Amino acid sequence: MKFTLPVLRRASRGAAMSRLMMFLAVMGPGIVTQNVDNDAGGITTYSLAGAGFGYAMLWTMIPITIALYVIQEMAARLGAVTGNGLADLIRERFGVRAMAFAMLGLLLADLGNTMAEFSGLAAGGEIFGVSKYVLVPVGALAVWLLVVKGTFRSVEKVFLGASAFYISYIISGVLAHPNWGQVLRATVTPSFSLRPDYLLVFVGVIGTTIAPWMQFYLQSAVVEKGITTREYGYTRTDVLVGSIMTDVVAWFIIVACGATIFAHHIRVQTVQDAAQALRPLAGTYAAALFALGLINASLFSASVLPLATSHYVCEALGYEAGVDRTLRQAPVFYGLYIALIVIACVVVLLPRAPLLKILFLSQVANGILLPFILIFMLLLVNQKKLMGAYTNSRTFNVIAWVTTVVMIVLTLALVVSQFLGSGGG
Amino acid sequence: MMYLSQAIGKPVTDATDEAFDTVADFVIYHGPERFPRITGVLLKGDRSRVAVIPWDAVAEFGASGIRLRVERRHLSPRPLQPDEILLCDDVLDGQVVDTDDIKVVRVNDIELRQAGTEVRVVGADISTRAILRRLGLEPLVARVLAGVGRPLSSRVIPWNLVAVLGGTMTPLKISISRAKLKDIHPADLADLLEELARDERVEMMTALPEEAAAQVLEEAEPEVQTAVLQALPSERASDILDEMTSDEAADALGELPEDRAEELISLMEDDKAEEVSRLLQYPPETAAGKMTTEYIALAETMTAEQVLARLRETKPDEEAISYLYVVDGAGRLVGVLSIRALLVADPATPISALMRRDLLTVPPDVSADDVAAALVKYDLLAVPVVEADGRLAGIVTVDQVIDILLEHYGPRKLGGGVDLVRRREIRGSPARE
Repeated sequence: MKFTLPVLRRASRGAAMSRLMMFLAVMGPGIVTQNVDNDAGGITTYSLAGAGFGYAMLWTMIPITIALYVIQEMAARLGAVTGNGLADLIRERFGVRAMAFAMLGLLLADLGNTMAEFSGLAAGGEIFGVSKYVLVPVGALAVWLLVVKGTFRSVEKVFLGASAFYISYIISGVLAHPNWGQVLRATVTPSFSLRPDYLLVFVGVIGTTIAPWMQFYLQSAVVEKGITTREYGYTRTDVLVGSIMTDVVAWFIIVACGATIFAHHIRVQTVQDAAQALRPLAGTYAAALFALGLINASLFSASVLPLATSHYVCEALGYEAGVDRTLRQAPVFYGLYIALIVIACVVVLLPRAPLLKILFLSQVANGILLPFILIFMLLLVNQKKLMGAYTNSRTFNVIAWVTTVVMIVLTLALVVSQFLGSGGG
Repeated sequence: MMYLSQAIGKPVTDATDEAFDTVADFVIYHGPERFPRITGVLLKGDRSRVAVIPWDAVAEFGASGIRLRVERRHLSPRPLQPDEILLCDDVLDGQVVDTDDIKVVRVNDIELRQAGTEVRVVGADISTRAILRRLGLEPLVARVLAGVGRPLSSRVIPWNLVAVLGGTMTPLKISISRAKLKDIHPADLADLLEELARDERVEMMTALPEEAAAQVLEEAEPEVQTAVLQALPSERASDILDEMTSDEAADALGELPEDRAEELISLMEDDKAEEVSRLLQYPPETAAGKMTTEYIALAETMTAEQVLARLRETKPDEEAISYLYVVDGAGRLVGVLSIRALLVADPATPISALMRRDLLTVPPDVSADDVAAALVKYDLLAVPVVEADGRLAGIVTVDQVIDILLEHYGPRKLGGGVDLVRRREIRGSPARE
């Protein structure tokens, strides 16, 4: 005997409609991850890419999108098939040493990311003339309360909604009347330079787009949603949509900055300069619009990142974790969480802290850590015992390994060029 | 006494004293033994980890490695048996349940004890010290901490209190897990369920008897319910849903993707499936969405004596017995009867003479928040949900109201501060028997 669910039925007439409903129900992890990914560090890095090199970096967006999708899909698949988080899998499959190494790297990179979030907050405040000595502590306290009091879930929607701010880059990019022919040509024509500043921006752009913590975050989100191989097809779509969305935004930020800042030969030294990319849309309000976007992105990611990082580290080490524990039950978890926030705040609050540099260099650090996390993921996703029939296809392996090798080579080239650059200069 | 991490990677020599390989893993028989014996060893050279060297072949075992009785070429490896597990691959670094403290813990190392050539697993080391030992940092950190007057402590859970979940589920493994979990309160099991990974959740929900599994699932957070119902085999999932109260089952099913929900409902018992399908028609955030159908409805023609006889016979749950609802022939709600009125009345009195007719009801489509407000304001334990034609559809009890209020105003989860001493008292109290 078969019973039907009348409510759901009514809403989903026909197969296409039911597929859409299913997609909306499972949707989330991929798209949410991508939204957290477009954080203060991301906006800054893309802005610097466009401001410093015009359209010359646009071509990277296509290969980066492909790599981003392939890598995120691997993370999501690992989660759906094994039901375990990435940190857990590294611990269970490669032992304590590998885990300690990966967690230490993640902790350092995320300390950098957290600093970037608070720098974004401070920089956004500067535009409004609010001192960072006021805004950063207030922001940190707000984040702490949001997370610990458990009201984050309801506020999450506000943050996500405010992410619509990125649309202003798309409009601004169009209103700046770039030479579209030139833009599109630059998008499909690879170019490369061994100049140290070019390499730095290149690693930063990849590092901010395919940040290591995202793989941990996405995989955990997939596991938490209880997604199994049955619903996995929809998650794949979710990841694809998320990857493309992120990079469309990134592409437009570069175009907007290239058509404004680069075209007017402005050297970006403060966040105020980076805001000029929004002038075609917002005119004299460009700075205000930019600052609001920056503050929103910073607070959103600052609520997610340090918390998620403490979670992964504690779970991998076997300490109790979670905001539903008391301080006494989970001292390591709270200790790490507080340490991340406090250290990040203190660094940002140092007098004359170079906010823009922190924002940007933290993303370069992400890029440097990325290949190591990728190697772990690749080894895991190709284990028959773990993944059964869901191991990587050859194409995926090739793309992911190429990304890994490219990142290692770029990082080495970066180190060498920095060394030569500083030696020569 | 010795640790697993110290035995792994040590040389294996044969009878000719040739060190031909190193230890990769140990095999134990996962049976009813409290402290299981090591039954075999795997060698590093065996890349696919399939050839188990039986423990009989071991002449000596110690901190310096393993010496075999026979020559290398006379070894007769055997395949892994279904009820054997690998200490490194299956247990070390994985999660297990500490059934004494009722916590999910990670195994940082495994303590072994030796008597002659017999080696037994005695405990799971879950301390930070074990991690430091494996990283080679133990002496350093121990010295630093001793310097500040806080020596490194060890924490080893005796193996008989450890439940290893996940991995291949054999009938024996299931029965052992069942025995280890049987004394834990369902609410605590629900907390554990939340912490466990998918395979481990599946094993817990398979090992528990259906009624217990249903209770655990009722207590679990909605996200955990969804994940468990997705991961369990359909048959088992529908059996557990059958044992849940209809409203809890409907809430859990409502969170699932439509295909899966329909599949599970079609496998449920017919009357339960019908009831659940009916409940699923109501929007979740209304009175009808929150109501339970586990209530007592009495025909107005019954006498006090008949009602008492009926209650003795049906033995309703304590939650359901606070109010007895009285309905007419068409199922319309006409009154409510208190247990007190029932007990003090003359047995032959018809209940229509004992019941109160002035009672508060709510329509099915009123918002859940308003229902909560009404219960709080009028200090009720439950409020009946009545359709437009006067028929009694279900009741919203104070239990559901607490959940509604916590969802809005509370932290995501209460009880972080309840310590185990108190939990034990709750577990041991006669009230639950």
